[in-house]
Amino acid sequence: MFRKIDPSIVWTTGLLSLLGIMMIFSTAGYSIMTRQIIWLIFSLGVALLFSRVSPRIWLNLSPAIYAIAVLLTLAILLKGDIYPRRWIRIGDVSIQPSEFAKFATVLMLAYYLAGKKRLSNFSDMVVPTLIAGLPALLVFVEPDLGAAQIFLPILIVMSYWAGMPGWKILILFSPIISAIASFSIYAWVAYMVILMIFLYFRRQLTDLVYGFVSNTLTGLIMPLVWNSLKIYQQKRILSFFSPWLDPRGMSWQIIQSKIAIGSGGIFGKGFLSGTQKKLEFLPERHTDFIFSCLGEEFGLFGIIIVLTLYVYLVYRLLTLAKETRNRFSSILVCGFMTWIAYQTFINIGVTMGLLPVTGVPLPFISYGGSALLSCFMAIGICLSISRVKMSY
Amino acid sequence: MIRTKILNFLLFFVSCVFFSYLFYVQCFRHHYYEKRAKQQHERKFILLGSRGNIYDRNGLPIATSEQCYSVFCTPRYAVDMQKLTSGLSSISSKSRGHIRQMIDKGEFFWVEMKVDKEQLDRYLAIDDPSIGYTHDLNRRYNMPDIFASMIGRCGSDNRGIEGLEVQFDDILSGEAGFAVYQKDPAGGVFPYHNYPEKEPQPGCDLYLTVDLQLQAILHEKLKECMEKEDAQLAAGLIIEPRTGNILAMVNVGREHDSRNHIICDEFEPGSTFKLMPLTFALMNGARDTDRIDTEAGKIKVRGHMINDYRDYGVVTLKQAVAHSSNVAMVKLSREFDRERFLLLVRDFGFGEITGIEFPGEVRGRLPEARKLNDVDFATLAFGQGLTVNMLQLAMAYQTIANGGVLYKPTLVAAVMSKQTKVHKSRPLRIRRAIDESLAHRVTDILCAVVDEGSGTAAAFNGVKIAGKTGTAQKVINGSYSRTSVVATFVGYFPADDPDYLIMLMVDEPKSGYWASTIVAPVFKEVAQSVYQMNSYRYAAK
Repeated sequence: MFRKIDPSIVWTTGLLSLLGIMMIFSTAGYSIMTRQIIWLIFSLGVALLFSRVSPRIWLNLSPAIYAIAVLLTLAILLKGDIYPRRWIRIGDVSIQPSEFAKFATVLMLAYYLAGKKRLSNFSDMVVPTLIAGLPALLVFVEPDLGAAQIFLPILIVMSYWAGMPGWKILILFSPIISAIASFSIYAWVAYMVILMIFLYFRRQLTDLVYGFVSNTLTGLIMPLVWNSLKIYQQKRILSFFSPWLDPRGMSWQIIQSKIAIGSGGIFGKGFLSGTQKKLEFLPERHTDFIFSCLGEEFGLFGIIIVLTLYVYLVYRLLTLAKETRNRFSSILVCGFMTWIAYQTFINIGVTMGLLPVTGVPLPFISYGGSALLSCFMAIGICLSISRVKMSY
Repeated sequence: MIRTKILNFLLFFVSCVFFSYLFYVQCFRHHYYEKRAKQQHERKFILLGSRGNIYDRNGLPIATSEQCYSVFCTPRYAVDMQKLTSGLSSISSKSRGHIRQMIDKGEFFWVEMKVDKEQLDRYLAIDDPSIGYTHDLNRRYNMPDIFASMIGRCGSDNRGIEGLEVQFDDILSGEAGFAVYQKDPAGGVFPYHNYPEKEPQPGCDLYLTVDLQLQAILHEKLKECMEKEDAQLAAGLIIEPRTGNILAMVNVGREHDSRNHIICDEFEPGSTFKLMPLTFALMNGARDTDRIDTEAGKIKVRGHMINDYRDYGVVTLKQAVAHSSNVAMVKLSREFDRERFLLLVRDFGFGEITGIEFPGEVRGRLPEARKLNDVDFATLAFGQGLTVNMLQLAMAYQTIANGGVLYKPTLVAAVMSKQTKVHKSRPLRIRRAIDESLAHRVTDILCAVVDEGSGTAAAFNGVKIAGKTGTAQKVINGSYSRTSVVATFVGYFPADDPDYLIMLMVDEPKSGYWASTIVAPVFKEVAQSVYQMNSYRYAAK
């Protein structure tokens, strides 16, 4: 039975987790590492269990799991007293429901999209958007923008994979671009002109009407909403997207992270010898910025190995999604792949200073039990799918 | 499957962007980020080597360095502003308003620099995290008013800025070391074994030729004279003629005057310069018994009248020098080969710096023989028309006193490092200017100055003293003043084998005009004290 599972998924995730344990030891010390090891053993057990269960059972369990996850997220919003309301404490263990909400949302989206044989209209996107939007909104209110943003790419890629035309999806989410462009009148006008030319050649009335109306409305309303905000609220939002406006806060993190990676050089400063890390210049060393420590201690050499592992893992998951004949399983694997790939992309992009600072853990490596467990739950399911991928 | 291809392309594209950017940051920009990393987590501290001490010839301390502390305050870290303000203002000499202002500003400031341990403890007793201190070195001077013009002083950075402190700054200050510490973002600093370090090297100690006792005596007498005469300046030198060692060097100036006028100022020597025509004449066959008619104390050179103090009549050469007759000197100098005379003057050290280890020595101005007309040369014979520094003049007499050899004057006996003696200075012979018998003949004549001439006020206890007075009119607005003079006296004893050469100078005395009545008595007091200090030695002889 084990012969049939995809071994590359096992050893890539295994290597990444071991590397994660090493880096957590280097950045946070022995006791934190021990906690993570316990979480890892538990997660591997769960993954093993899931890999032996038939993937079909998830089809029926999806709505229930989704409901529990949403209720859990809602519960900490109502009951949580530590701000931001991200954790539930059960005894000695903290659990982050948003991580499980990601897992559950992927399941639920796969469940819904697999049931739809044809996806072609905007109306077909209403339910998936609601499925992804509900947990996203709850997580955003916690507030945890880093976790909330993950739901959007999951929604887009999964519906695309399920058969939604790419152009439709682009037009559907184009108001987001319009909202960002509206901060500069020139950018917005240029964007609108390009959009209209594009829509004209598409020669579809609904696209044209929806695209024009939604983009114009967001373009007009955004400045009004923006101007009604207080200055400090504007600043807070701006610094979310542009850390250089807040040099002592977020850009400090970016600067320190870049210094860490850059000073690592080709071969790094050696395991446990990162000065940026040791002297505590780096913020969030064992969680969101663990990749910078990796770059500092192992250099370009180490980073290339880690990045290659991620790319290979994602590539294997994508191949698995392509080869799986069962529609539900295929969409499910694609959802998990998007989740892992997007979090990796955001995390590394932030530590290198290419993307605005949002706190996203690096899958398998960052410290955090919930993230590790939910990732391995997904991997377990992927493994079970790889075992039976040829069956419908 | 177009969808798989698009997603694969996205994966490929993003990883290409990441790989190339990482390559750029970690390879091309590596040095830049490495430098930034070092900048922010390394901090270099300069460690000062302790400055060497200065001692007199007997090892008594003149200038010493001691550990002290500088107290600073960073109001940002203060716990209780009110307590801090009242605490600081009660200890510090600064006003309460000033301190409150500094604290309100919120920026780092120095509360008090260079305080001793006791005062530091008082500050630390305020017990506020905003107060900190650094180690510093303080320069302490013994008897600063006596030594000020010679030793000079240091700036707040412990580097010499005047006098011997600046002359020997490199030797005294030693070598600064440094230590590199690791620094965290909160400003915490801790040592790290892998970083370079350099121990500071303490400076060497300086042992002077100066004798603290002699210096004190000279200072006391000159100060008395200064107060009595209300002069511009009273300065004095005691030299050991055998070696050129300077035993005492004192300037008593007006208030806030720490300049070493002996070395750094030039003046017209006047009658003390008569030593030169006297020596030259004896060299060329004149005898001390030669008779000279002083022509009723007046002589005309090319229409220029030269006077004596009074009419001495027909005198011997010895008497002429003893009474310091200008006319006699003018008549003597008529026979001189001017070129050779000026060469002899140079051999005695005039017109060249003496080379003493002191910053800012002036060279003095010696005229050239071919540019001198008869009047110029005649006045040169009694010390007008050239300038010297006081030390040059004293060294010319030193040449006679030790039998014709000019030495380099020196202030430094030895330089000692903390462990071993590095360098002991030896008397530096510059040249033999005249032969020994001639020097003794000159000394004989100079003894007559004190025995029977203008210097009788300098005599004491029957000690045989050779000396010469000098009363030089100062040039004011281009002509010689009738009232402002520089009165000098230079003498050495015991004349047969001199141990001490003392030169004194009073600039613009108010009570009189003549060196014989103003400076010669001071010489007597100084010389008597010096003599009594060593009386056991002289008694043994």
